Amino acid sequence: MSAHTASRRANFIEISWPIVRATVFAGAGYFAAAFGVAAIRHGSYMDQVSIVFGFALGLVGWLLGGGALEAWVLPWFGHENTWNEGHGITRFFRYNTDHKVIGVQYMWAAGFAFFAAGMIAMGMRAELFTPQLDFFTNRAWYNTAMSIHGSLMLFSVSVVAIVGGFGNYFVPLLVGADDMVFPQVNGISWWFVLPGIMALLLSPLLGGFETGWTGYAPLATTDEAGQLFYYLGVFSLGISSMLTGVNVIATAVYMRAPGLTWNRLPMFVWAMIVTSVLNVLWVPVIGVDMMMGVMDRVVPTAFFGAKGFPLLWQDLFWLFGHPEVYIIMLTSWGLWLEIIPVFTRKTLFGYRWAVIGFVVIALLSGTVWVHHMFTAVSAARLIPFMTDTEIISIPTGFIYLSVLGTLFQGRVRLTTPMLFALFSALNFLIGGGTGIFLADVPSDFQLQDTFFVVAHFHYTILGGMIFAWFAGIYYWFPKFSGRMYNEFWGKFHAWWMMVFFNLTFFTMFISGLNGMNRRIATYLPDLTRLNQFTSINAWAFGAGFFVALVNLLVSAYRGERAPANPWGGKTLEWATTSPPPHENFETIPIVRGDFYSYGDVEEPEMGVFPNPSLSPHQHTTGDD
Amino acid sequence: MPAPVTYEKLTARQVRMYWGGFWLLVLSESMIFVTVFAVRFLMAYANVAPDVDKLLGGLVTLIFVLSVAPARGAVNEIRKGNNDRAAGGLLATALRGTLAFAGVIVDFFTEKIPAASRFGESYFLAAGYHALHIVIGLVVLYALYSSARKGRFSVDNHWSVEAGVVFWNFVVILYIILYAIYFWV
Amino acid sequence: MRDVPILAVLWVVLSAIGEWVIQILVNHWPLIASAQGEETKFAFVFLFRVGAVVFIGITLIIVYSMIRWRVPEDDTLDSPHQYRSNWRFTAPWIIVTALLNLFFIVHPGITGLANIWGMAVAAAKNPNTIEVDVECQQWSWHFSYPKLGIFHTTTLVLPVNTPVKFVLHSDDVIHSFWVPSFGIKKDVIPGEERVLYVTPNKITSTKDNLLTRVQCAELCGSGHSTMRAVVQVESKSDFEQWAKKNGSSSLRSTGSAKGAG
Repeated sequence: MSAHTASRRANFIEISWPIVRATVFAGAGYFAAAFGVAAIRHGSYMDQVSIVFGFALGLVGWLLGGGALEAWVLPWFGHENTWNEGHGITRFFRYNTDHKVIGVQYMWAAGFAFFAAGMIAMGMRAELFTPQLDFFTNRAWYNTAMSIHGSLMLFSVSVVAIVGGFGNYFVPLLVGADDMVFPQVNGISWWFVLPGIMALLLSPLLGGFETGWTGYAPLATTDEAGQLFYYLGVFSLGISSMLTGVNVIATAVYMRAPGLTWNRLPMFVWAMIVTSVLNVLWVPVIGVDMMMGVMDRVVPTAFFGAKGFPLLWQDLFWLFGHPEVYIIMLTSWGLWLEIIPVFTRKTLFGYRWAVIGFVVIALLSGTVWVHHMFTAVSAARLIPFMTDTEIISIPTGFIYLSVLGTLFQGRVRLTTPMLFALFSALNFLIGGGTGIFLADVPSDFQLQDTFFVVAHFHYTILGGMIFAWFAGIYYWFPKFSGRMYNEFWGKFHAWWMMVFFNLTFFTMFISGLNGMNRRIATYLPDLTRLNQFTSINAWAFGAGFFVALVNLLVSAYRGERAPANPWGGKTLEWATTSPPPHENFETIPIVRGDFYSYGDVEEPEMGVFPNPSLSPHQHTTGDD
Repeated sequence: MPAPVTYEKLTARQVRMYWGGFWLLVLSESMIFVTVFAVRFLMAYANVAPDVDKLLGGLVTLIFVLSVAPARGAVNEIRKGNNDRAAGGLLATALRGTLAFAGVIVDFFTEKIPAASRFGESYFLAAGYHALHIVIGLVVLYALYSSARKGRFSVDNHWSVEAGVVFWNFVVILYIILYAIYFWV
Repeated sequence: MRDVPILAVLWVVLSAIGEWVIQILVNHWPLIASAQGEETKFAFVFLFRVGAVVFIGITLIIVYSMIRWRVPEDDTLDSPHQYRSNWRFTAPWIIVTALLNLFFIVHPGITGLANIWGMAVAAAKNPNTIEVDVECQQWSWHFSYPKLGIFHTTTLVLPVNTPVKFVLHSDDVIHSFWVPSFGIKKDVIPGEERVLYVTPNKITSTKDNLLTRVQCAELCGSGHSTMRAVVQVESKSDFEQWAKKNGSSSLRSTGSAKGAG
């Protein structure tokens, strides 16, 4: 979309052939491995061993077909890189190393997964509209639906949408760089996401899986074979997180523009760094857990059986799983602190405290995991983990300190992004606050595994992160699409979502306290009224997303052209065109002040000098 | 057809960035093995199955250790810009690594440890994960060898060789630890 | 700045209203029918009461700011108030949140646990404690009263105001033993034994109140939703009659409880 790209429109074949080739290679790899292994073992191509090897080789085929063959493998062995990264719209459907393209690819993948998982949720609420089984054929399919809903949301939406989508797109821009440190690794990391999503969506072909997104053994060892796709899909998604994590940290450490010292670093970048450290450290742990799960089914070993350690699965899962929820939330908090100063034109309050909050939360996040298991573990573990879990609320409070201090006495412009950011803060207050009831062990003894918990995590993740995601989408939409969205429908969407979200999920606190446990397809009749109320509001809530979809899609093509800086923001992404050119900045910016000062606190200047020797990347003489 | 790519010299800053990112990757990979080794101690405490094949394990360890010297030699050569000599060193490393890998495969199939025992399960988990990393390391070494043969590296641009060799060293060190804690502790 | 006094007054008023609402909710709380349940309910209500004040305070500041300082969207002026920090806000905030969280750890956290454990220890020493072996599998519950000679019933019958020691075993996957009105649950792990002490303190049954039922509370497969059992808490004399009718030895048996769990 920059001036020098080809202006003719690409035809369908040019757009789609890499994805088609990737699919073909994936299928070929899958079946070659599955049949090969079956032949060697005298088994069937549909049995579990064949499936595992099939997935592995299929994944390799998918990566190669999308472009890694010409761009990675052949050059490793000394050949030239002949891969054409495309132009215009064709870039998004193939291996591409421009972080902006990759960011958009992640956003679309997350959006697709969100849509799929959301539709499943609509189906779940249809089932729960009545106490009996009437929407799903049987309870096992409800459990599978519920499991896919959770797995998609947790593994392929909540960590992919902001961290993968905005992180990739905006971290280089926010630090004044022209790309990430490892553009090739970045390019390939996205290709691990779709196999993960597809594995989860295709698990019904193998019978589905009933364990929920948490995959607890030993149920996971004995339920349907779709469980394998859960293990393998999550593993693939994990690789993506790991690679992105490495790239983000390296970029933020090494590629900051001149003058961008650590204490001027944008809040979103701080959040991305801390999130990436968590990704780098903890994703491997869940990878091992998944592999052990595969082994328990396929070999079979007995890591998690009655003769092994059934709780070991949970320990390893939550060792990753708790940092995971901070991986989800940290960038949302970063977005609040980016957006609120801009729309109050007031200096960010307590920058240092907020950064300390992020870092301490990350440090503590690895020490609290047992609070997901209070009803299962021995008494000795209860007090230490309750203590740590309560303590982590303190740094979390620092973020609200910053929000309130900035908001108070500001000049508040309630645009769509600001509405979403504030709604996110309000929702997360309920979500995080109800966490206190679960952190307290006696209280948790009653609430664990009830709909109270379901409400809690939907308030934090949906109410917190998804609302923040939309805040970011509307905030940065002008930048990455070059056009303005429709403000009326944006606000409509914000209010609609807020109202129906709260009506849907607040009632779940009540049904939880009234004895409704989680992960059930049918329930006792006394809970009918509550559930009907929840379901109706849930459907209304879901319908609201279509407003956003139409608004954003139509605006992307027909919206008013956006200026470089429609909001008056001061971070570096606003110092370049909308959308940015391929190399992000005409010349590398030089930073001479901080980004969050307004009024007479300190007037920052965004000096821009022609200084190409400062660019860390030397452009090759190949095709741009 | 795009013009042939010239491999421009890497600036000191670029090299620092690449090492920074590389060590982060090594940190992440190490977490895999921290987890796997922790599981081993959790499941089997400090016990070692009496019938582990210490000899085979020792032999594999020896071959791995012997593969390090030609790798370091290759790095020294490539720092001077000698692609051919470096290629030779990389090939030697890769061949020894392949031999060690063969030993690992043989060990997999001939170990008398019962797979279903707690020790056995955690051993095969660790050995399997490590074997995966051997394969990755070997692919990297063969790729580097092939590229060096084509003269792709120079005094100013050979970071991939250095990183690849460090990764191989990482694989070897992991095996030494694995040997120690599964065969001897 | 008149805002601070206004906010303070609003905070007090709204908190008072909030506490009043909470009191109404507490008066209509779902049935809690055990001593342990009263502990867990107390913990919840305590946190609710304190948490509501905090929640109201923060929400108030956000909503107040959205209204009080709102300007049109095409406004281009900077706010006249600019400051990076303000120890009068930051220091109390950090100190109060830290103290509050540390306080919660102790009360109702540790104190609640101490009470629950205390009840368990007392029950372990009490010769009147009824022992019920709970065996669960996909997807049903079986109860045995070894000292009363009653085995494998599917209805859980208990005497009121008597400690019960549940010894939990699972035959297959992880389940969780939960009677909602008892206010406490315990996961059941295959290959391990878990113990849960409960002292029911009201006469109730599944017929009277659906919250008095055994409900599996850990996803265990397709039958998880319906993995339930009927519970009856009866007076001591009714229970003795039931035990005599179904069992082979009397309620008052000698012999110590198996070691504390």
